[in-house]
Amino acid sequence: MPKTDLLQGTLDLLILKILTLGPNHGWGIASRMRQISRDNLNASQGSLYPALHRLELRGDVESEMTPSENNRRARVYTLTRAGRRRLETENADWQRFVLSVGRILNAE
Amino acid sequence: MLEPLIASLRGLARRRAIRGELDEEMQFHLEQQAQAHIQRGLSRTEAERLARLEFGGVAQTREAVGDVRATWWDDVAFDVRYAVGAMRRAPLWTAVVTTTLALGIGLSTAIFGVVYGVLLKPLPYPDADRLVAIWNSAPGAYERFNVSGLNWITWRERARSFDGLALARLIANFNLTGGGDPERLQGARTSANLFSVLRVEPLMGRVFTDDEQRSDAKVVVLSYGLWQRRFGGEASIIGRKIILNGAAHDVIGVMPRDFEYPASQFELWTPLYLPPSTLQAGINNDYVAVGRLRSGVSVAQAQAEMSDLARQFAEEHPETKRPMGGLVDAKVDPLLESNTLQIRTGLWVLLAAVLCLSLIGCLNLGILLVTRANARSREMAIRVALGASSSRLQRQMLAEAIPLAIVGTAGGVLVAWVLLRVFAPALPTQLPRATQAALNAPVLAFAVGVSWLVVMLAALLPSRAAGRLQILAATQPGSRSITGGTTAQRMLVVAQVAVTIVLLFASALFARSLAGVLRVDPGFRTDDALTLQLAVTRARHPEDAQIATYYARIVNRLQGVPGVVAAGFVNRLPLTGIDQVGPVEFEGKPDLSLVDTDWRSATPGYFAAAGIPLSRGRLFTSFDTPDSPPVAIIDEQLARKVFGAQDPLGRRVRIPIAGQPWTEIVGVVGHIFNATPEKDIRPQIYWPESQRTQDRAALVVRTSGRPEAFTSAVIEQIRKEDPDQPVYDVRPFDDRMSETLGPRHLLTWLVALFGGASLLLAVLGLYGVVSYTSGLRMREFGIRLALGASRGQVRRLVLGQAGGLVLIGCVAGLVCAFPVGRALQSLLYKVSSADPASLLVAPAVLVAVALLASAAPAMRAARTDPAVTLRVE
Repeated sequence: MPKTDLLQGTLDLLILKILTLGPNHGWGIASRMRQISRDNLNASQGSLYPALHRLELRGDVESEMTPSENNRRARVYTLTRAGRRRLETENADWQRFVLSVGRILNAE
Repeated sequence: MLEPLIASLRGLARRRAIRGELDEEMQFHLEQQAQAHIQRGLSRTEAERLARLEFGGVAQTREAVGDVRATWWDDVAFDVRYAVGAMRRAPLWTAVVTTTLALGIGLSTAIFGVVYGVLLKPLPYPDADRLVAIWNSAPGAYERFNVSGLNWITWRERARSFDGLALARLIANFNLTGGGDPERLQGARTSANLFSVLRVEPLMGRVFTDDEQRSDAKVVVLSYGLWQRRFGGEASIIGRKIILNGAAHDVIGVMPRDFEYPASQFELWTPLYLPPSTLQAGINNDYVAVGRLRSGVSVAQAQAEMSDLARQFAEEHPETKRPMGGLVDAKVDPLLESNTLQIRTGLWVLLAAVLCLSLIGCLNLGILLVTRANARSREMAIRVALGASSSRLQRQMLAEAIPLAIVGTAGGVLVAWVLLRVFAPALPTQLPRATQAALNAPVLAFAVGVSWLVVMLAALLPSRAAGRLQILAATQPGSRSITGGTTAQRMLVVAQVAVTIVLLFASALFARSLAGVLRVDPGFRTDDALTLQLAVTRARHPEDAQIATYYARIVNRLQGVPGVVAAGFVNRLPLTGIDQVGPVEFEGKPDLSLVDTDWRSATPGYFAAAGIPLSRGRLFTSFDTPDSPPVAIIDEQLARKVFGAQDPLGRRVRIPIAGQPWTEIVGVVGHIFNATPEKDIRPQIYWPESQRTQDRAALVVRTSGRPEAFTSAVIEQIRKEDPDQPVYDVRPFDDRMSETLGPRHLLTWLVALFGGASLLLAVLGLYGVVSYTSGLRMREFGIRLALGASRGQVRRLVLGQAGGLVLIGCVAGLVCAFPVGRALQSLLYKVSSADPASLLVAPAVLVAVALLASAAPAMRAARTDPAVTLRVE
C-alpha cells in the first residue's frame, strides 16, 4: 500500500471520527484533532481542506456556510449517513490493520 | 454513465462560488488560530505568523482543493481551448480541413437523405412492413411478371399466408370532361379490398364494395390532391357525378392527403371489373397483386406457399407454361422493396462511393493531425515524462478534434440542406418518392453520427501511433528520427491511395458502360420528333372502326401542318416503360415454341415518324381495313429467328388464342430497343391499328426544325378533331431518351465526381507527407550533396519515396477492386467486372497525378544548399 494513500485514508478517518461529535468547521476540526492527539499529530493544517472537499464530493460529509464568531462566515461540515457507515467499516479495517501490524511487530 | 457527467457539470457551476468561499474559510481558520495564540500570550504579529506557519501554504491549499474539485471536464475544456488557439494560428490549414470535412459530410448526408426517402422510409400505411407484392415468375426469363385475374381469384381462395390479397390495374387512363378543360388523369382500377389490405380509411365518404366491383359500378374515389385542385375542396363533392371516359361516375369518397397508392401521380380509384371472358390462364397478365401478411407469417414463408400455389396453378392450367418461358413460379417481395427494385443497387453504390470519399477525407484529417502532433512531439514527451498518462494524451487528441467535429457537422448539415433543396427536384423520375428526400430526424442522426465517427477516427488513429512512438525519439535533443509518427502518416497515405484506386476503378467501369450505352443504336430516331400520349374516350367511339378512322383523321390534319414530315400512332411508345408483351405462333413452324414479342398496333405513318426503316415488303396502308385480309409486319430479329435465310413475306402468324385469325406477313422492318438502349429484350410484331384497335395511343410527329415549336399546332389539330380529347406527356422524343438514361448518367457522373474528389484529397495527403518527411531529411540531403551526390539523385530519392507509397497503395487498391467490380456487375453495360482497361486506367491516372504532386518537394530537396542546411544547429 503506497504511503500517501495510507496517510490520506487515515486523515479522512480522523475527520469522520471527529465529526461524530457534532458539526464543526475546519479550524474546529484541526484544533480538536490536536487536542485529542495531545499535539502528537502535527500535519500542516492546510492539508485538512483538500481532504474535507474530497469527503464532501464523495458524499461522506455535507457543508454549509454559516455565520460564526467575529462576524465571519465559516463552512460548517456535518457527517452524513453515508459518512457514518464509511467510518464504521474503515474503523474496523483500521483496527484489524493495527492488530496485524502489532502481531507482526510483537512476534519473536 | 450519465451520473458522473451531471455531477461534474454541477461541480463546474459550484466551483466559482466555492473558490471564493474557500478563501473566506481559510481566512477564518487563520484568524481563529491567531486568536488562540494571542490568548496564550503571543503578540498579534507573532500569533499571525505562527498561524500561517502551522497552516502551510494558502496558495498550495487553494490548488489542492481545486485539484480535488477538478473533473475530466476541465481537461477537455482546456484542450478544446488549446485546439481553438492552434486553429486560429493556422487558418489556411483549418479552412482546408473543415471544408473537406463539411463537404464530405454534406455529400454523404444528402445521398443518405435520398436513400432514406426512397429506399428506407416506411410506406405511409399502418404496419407497412407486413405488406408484400406478389408476382408471377418465369424462372430464368422473367423474374417478376404481372399476374392475371384468374391468378388472383385462385390465390385468394387458397393462400393461407395473407390477411388480405388485393389486385390492381395500374395502367388506367381517365379522361375527365365537363366543368373545365378536358384532362387525362392517371388512376388505378382496384379490387374493393385494396383499402382494407392497406388499412387506410377514406377522409370523406366511403370506398367501394365487393358488389360494386363485381357489377362494374360507375363509382369513383378521388385523391385529396385532385379534390382540392379540380373541385375546390368542397365537401359537397360526395354524391356528385363526374364524367370519366364519357360516362357519369358517382363520387363516393375522398382519400386522405398522404394516400399515394401506388405512387403520387395517381389521382383516382375505381372498381376493377374483371369480365368473365378475361379470366383465362396464360393471358391477360395485366395486374399487380398486393397482400398483407397474416401476423406471424414471414416473407419467406409466404414465398414458399406462393411458389407451391403457382406450381399447382401451372399444373391445372398447362397453357400457363407456354408464354414468357413458362410462368410456373411466384415471387413475394416486401412492398417497399418492390417499388425500388430497379434503382436500389445504384443508390447503395452511390452511398458507398460517397462514404469512401468521406473516409479519404477522414484519413487526410488524420494525416494532418499526426503532422501537428509531430510538431508537438517534444512537448508531449515532456508531459509524459512529467507523469501525464497516455490516456490523458489520447484524450487531448480527441478534444482537439471536437471543434473540428462541431464545425464539420454544422457545415455538413448546411451543405446537405442546400444539396437536397436544389438537386432533389432534379433527380431522375425513376426514383419513386424522391421528393421525400429531406433533412428529417434519421438523416440528421446520420449526419451527426458520421461526422463524429469520422473525426474521432481521424483523431484516434494518430494519437495511438504518435503517443507511443515518438517519446523516445523526441526526447533526444537534435533527434532527426523520421520513423515514428511518419510511419502512421505513410500508412494513412497508403490507405488513401488504395480507397482512391477503388473509386477510380468504379468510375472507369461506369464511364465505359455509359459510353457503351450511348453508342447503342436503338433502331429508331429520337431527334426532331414530338411525342404525346392520349387515350380515346370509348363512349364517343364505341366501335373499333370508329377509333381507327379517328386516328386517321388526326394524322391527315397533322400532315397539313407546315413542317410536319410524318406522323403516326402506336399503342405503346418506345422508352415509356409501358409494355404490351405477348406470344405469337407461326404457321408451319410447329417445332418452334411460342415466341415472346412486343405487340404493337400502329398506323401507316408511324414507321416514318419514328424513323424505323423498312427492309423488305411494304408498310401498312390505308387499304388495310377491318374488312381487308389481316396483315402483320415483323422486325428483322424475329424474321431471322423464325425464318433464317428464308423469305418471311407471305408467311402467316397469329396470337395463340382461340378465335384469333392467321395474319399474313407483308413487311419486315428494323428491330428496335423498346424499353431502353441497355437491354435488347425481345423482337417486335406490328398489327395495323385498323385491324387490332387499342384505346390508348401515342402520337409521333417527325418535324423539320425544333419539335417543341410544333407543340401548340399539334394539340390544336387534335382539338379541332375533338375539343374534349385530353392529351398528356407532350415532349420531344429526345427528352424520353435522356430520361431513360437519367439514372445511368447520374450514377456515372456522381461516382466520377466522388472519384475525382478522392483523387484530389489523396494527392493532397501524399503531398503533405512527402513535403513533411523530405523537410525532415534536409540535413541528410545536404550531406549527400556535399559528398558528391547529384541533384538528380536527391530528386529521385524523394520521388522514390512517394512512388513507393503510391505503389503499395495501388496494389492494395487493385486487390480490393476485384470484389468491388463483382459487386457492381449488375450495373455495368457490356463491361467485365475485371475490365483490364479500367484496371489499368485507375492506377495510371493516380500515379501520374501523384508524381506531379511530389515534383515540388523533390525539386525543393534537390535545391538544398549543403552550406545552409549543415550549418543549422
